[in-house]
Amino acid sequence: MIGAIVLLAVAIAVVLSRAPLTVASTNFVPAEAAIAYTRGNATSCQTTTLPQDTAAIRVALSGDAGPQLRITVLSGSRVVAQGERPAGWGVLANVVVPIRELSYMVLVARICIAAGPAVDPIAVLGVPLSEHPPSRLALKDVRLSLEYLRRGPKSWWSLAPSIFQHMGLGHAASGQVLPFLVLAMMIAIGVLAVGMTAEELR
Amino acid sequence: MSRHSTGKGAAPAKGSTTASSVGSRAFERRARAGRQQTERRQTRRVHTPRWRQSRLRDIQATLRGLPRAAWVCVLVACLNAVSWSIITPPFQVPDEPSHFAYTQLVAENQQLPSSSQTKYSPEEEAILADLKAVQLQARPGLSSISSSQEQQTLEKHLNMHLSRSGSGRVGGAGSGPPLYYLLETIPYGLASAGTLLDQLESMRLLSALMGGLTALFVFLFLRETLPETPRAWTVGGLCAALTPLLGFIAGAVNPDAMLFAVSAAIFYCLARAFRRGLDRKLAVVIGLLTAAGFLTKLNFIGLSPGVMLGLIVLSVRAARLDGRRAAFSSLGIAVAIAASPVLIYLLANALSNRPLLGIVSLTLHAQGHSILGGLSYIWQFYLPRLPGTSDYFPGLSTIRDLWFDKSIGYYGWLDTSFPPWVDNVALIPAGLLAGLAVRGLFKARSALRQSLVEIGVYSAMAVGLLVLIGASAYFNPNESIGFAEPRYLLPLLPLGAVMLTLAARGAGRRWGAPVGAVIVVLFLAHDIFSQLLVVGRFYT
Repeated sequence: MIGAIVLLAVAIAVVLSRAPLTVASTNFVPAEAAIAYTRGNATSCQTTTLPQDTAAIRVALSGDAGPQLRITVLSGSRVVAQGERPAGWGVLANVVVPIRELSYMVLVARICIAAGPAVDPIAVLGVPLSEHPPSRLALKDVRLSLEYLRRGPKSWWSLAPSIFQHMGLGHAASGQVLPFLVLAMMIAIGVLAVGMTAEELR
Repeated sequence: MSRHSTGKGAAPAKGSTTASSVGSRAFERRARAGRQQTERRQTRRVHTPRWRQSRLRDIQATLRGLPRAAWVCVLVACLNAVSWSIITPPFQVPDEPSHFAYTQLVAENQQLPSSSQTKYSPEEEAILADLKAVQLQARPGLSSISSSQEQQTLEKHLNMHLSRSGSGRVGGAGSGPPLYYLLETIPYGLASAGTLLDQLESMRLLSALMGGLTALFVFLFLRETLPETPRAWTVGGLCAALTPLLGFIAGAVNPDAMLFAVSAAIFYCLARAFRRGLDRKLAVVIGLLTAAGFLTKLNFIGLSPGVMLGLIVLSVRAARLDGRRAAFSSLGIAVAIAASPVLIYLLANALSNRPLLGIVSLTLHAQGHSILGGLSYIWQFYLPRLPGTSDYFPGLSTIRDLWFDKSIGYYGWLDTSFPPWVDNVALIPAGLLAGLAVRGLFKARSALRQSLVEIGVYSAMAVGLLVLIGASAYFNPNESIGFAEPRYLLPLLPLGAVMLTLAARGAGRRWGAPVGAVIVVLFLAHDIFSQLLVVGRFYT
C-alpha cells in the first residue's frame, strides 16, 4: 500500500511539474455558431501557418459523441505531423486532437481533417470557403475555426498562485480561502481513506 | 465500540456464507429468529406509552451499531462531494441551471413547471450571463470569470435583489418528478437571505449529503451480501465514496444524486430481506423507497421491475414460513405504497386531458420503430454488434468509446475530459480488475449457485435500467448517443462495489488484502486527477 501511495505522490508531482497546453495561435476564423452539420464520412483541407512546438490542434466541431478524427499536416507534399482522436469525444466539445510535436514553424501548412463515420450529426463551426456557398453546406465547404496548442512556458506549480486567485472568483464565498479549503478536504479524504484501509486490511 | 460490532442492525453472523444464507434451512432459521425478535420488540412497544421515543432510541441504537468504517465512508463521500461542489463553477454541471430553476419555481411560486421550454427567473438569467455560463459550455478553451471587473458586475447583480419569480419554463428538468426539488427547497429557503450563489451552494451541500448516504448504503449492502469478509465492506464502501463521478454529481444540484442514494438503499433492503426474511416493516420501507425513486427521477422506472420481482420472490419465501396471508399482505402494502405515485400521476393526467403516461406516451407512439430493431439497437448501445444485424453505430465501439472512455472522465457540461492516452492507459488496471473479478466469481461459484434467485433479482434491476436508457436513445434518433452518460448507470453502484470486492478476493488469500488496498488508492488517484483536470479546465 505504501508503494501505491508513493507512486500516486510521484505521479501528482510529475503531472504538476509539466506545463499545460496553451493557445499559441489560431487561424483567426470565428467559431460563433454552427454553419453546417455533417454525418457519415467527411474531409476538409485548409491552408494555414503552424507555429513552432504545436502539440495539438483544437478543431471547432461539436457533437454528442464525435466520430474518429484524423489530422494530417502537410508541407508541400510532405507529411510533417499526424494525429488522431478516437471516436466518442464528448458533448458540446471543441475537440482537441494531439499531433506529433512540431520542432519548427511551418509557414505554409495544409491541414487535412478526416472525420467519420459520424452516427449523430456533427456541428461544424467556421465560415464558408466560397463567397457564394451552396445552400446546404458540408464540411468540405467550410473553413473551420482552428486553434494551435503548445506547452506553455510555466508549469502547473508556478501557475498555482494565479489558479488559486482565479478559483476565488465567481463562487458563493469568494476569496482565496476556497482553494485552501479544497486542499484541506482532499488531504483529509486521503488520510481517512488510506488510514481506514490500512487499519481494516492489517 | 468494536470495529464491526454485532447486535441490532448488524450483519449476519461472521462465518455464515452467502451460500448458506439463501434458500436453505439456515435462512429459514435465521428468518424465524429475526421475526421473533421483531415480535418481542413490538410487544415491548405496546406496553411503552412513549413508543415514539422508543423508536427514536431504536434508530439511535442502529446508528451507534454501525462500524466506524461505515462512518468513514460517509465522511469521505460527503467531503469529496463538497470538494467537487467548490471546484466546479456554478451551473457547469449538465442541466444545473434547469434543476435550480425548478427548485426556485417550487419555492418562490409554489407551482410545478408548466413547460420544458427555457425562460428562467430574471435573477438567474442575469447571474448566468455574468458567469458566462452558456459560453463556457461550448468552449473548453474558455475559463470561468477571472477579472475583478467581472466579479464586481456579478456581485452587483447578486445584490440587486432581482426577481426570483419564474415563468414555469424551466428547461429540460421540467418533465421530471418533484421530490428532489421539494427537498432542495429546504436549503434554498435557509439560504434565502443570501445571494443566489449562496442558495446554489446550500443546495449542492444537500446533494453532497445524499452522496454520503449512497456510500453508506453501498457499505451496508456489502455487509449483507458478503458477511464473512468485513474488509470487503470497507474496500467497496471507500471505492464508492471516492468514485469521481459520484462526487461530481453529488457536488451539484441534480436529482441523480438522490436517485443514487435511493437505489443503493433499495439494494441494501433487498439484500437484508434475502438474508433475514421480508417482514412487514421491511416491506413498508422498500415500498416507501420505491415510491421515492419514482418521485425522484424517471430513470427509476428501469429499476422498478427488478424491485417488484424481488418483492414477489421474497413474499413467496415468507409465505412458506408465515403463511400466505401475512406474507401477501406485506407484499400488498409494499406494492400499494410503491405504486401510489404512479397511480396519482396517471389520475392527474387523465383529469387534465394530458397523455396518460406523460412524455412516456410520446415515446410509445413514436413512428418508424420496430421491437426487433429496438432490441438490436439496445444490444449495440452497450455491446458489439451480433452477426446479421444492422450496424447502428458505424465506426464506434460503444463499450469502449462511449461507456469506458466516458467513465474515465467527462466533467463540466461533458466537455472536460482527459487526453486520449489516459483512456488507453486506464484499460490496463480496468482489465486487471475485470480479470480478478472473474476469478473471484469463479472461486465463489458454489456460493453463487445457491444465491441465483437473489442474483437474478439484482440482474433484473440492472438489465431494466440498461434497457430503459437504450430505449430512450433509440426513440430519440437526433441525440441518441447523448444518452450514453455513465452517470445514468450509477444507481447500480452497489453492484459495481461487489465486483471490486470480488476482484480483491480473486487475488487470493495472500494477495487479497494488498490488492484491496491498491484498489482504494487507485480510486483515490482517479478522484484527485479528475479534480485537477476540472481545476485546469476552468481556472487557467
